[in-house]
Amino acid sequence: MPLYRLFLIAVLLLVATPGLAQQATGAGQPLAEAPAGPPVTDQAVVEARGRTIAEGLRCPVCQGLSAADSQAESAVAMYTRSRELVAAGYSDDQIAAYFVERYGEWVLLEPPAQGLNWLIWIGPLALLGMGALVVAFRMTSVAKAPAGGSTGQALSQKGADDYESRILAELERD
Amino acid sequence: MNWKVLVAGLLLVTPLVWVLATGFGRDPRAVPTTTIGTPAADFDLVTLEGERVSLSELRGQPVVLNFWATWCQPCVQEHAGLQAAARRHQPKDPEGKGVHFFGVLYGDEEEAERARAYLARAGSAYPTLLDTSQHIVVDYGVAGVPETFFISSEGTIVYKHSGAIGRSQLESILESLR
Repeated sequence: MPLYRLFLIAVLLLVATPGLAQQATGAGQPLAEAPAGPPVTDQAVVEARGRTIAEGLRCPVCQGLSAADSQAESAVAMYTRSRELVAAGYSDDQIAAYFVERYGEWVLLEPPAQGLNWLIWIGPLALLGMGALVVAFRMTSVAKAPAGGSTGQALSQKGADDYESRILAELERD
Repeated sequence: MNWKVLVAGLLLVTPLVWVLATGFGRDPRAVPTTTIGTPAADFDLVTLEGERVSLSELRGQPVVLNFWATWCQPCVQEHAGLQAAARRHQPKDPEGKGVHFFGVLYGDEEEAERARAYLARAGSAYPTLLDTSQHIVVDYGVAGVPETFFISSEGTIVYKHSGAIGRSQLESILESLR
């Protein structure tokens, strides 16, 4: 089997197992580390950043909804907590880490591009690249074929010639 | 049959079957539990009766936290079992040893009022804490109600149960907790 096909199969298999990309992490006391910045007092900033963070968090009891878009109690609690942590001066990364510690990477609607998660990000591009390579390889093979046509065409021509000579022989016999 | 085709087919089909088999066997609504074996987040809350409770003050004794709500039917189902277990395992006097039980309600004063009325009807063997700030629910990674957390005397979360907990299961966890 050509090497590129084996590679293609390997990429397909890895992309087809997204569960491997989700690694659980442990939890501890709420935000043991200090806020990355000073408290945010501008309510418009708190609301905007809190909403952006909550939009990236999965509602624990819904299907395909973010914490910002759900009215479920736990989702509302997550949204509220996001705003509070923003106001306290925590960075977006610190807040995301806080939620991941408690709910696992599952809670992130967009898995971070790190570790095995890279496969989710580069997988489709890799597949597209492999497809382009296969097409390019095929086109090059066709272009390099003899002027009279490909091997398949030559064999077909040979078969037609045999068939024609047999018909002529039959006609001569009659 | 061409063995290369066979091997390539197996390489493709086997992982797909594995992915489908594990995927179908998993509850899509189940939220991963990541807090087992980690220190339980401290809290300082007020009960429905107005008494302050802090988890750190209970260090040295096992604690059961039951997150519930008045509108939650599974919470109603497990209520009697939890009350019975609390009566058996709670300390008989303030200085005695045992497992401390707490309900945790996250919501506003309206929900607190409904809870008071419900507990007056259904009975209450242990205090219910009111988490109006909704910090504790997120600190513990609660996805929905009911969820019951079992905290060891060292302050570590040793087990979490999602959904209504049965009496026999509750009893076996409590025996291992003591």
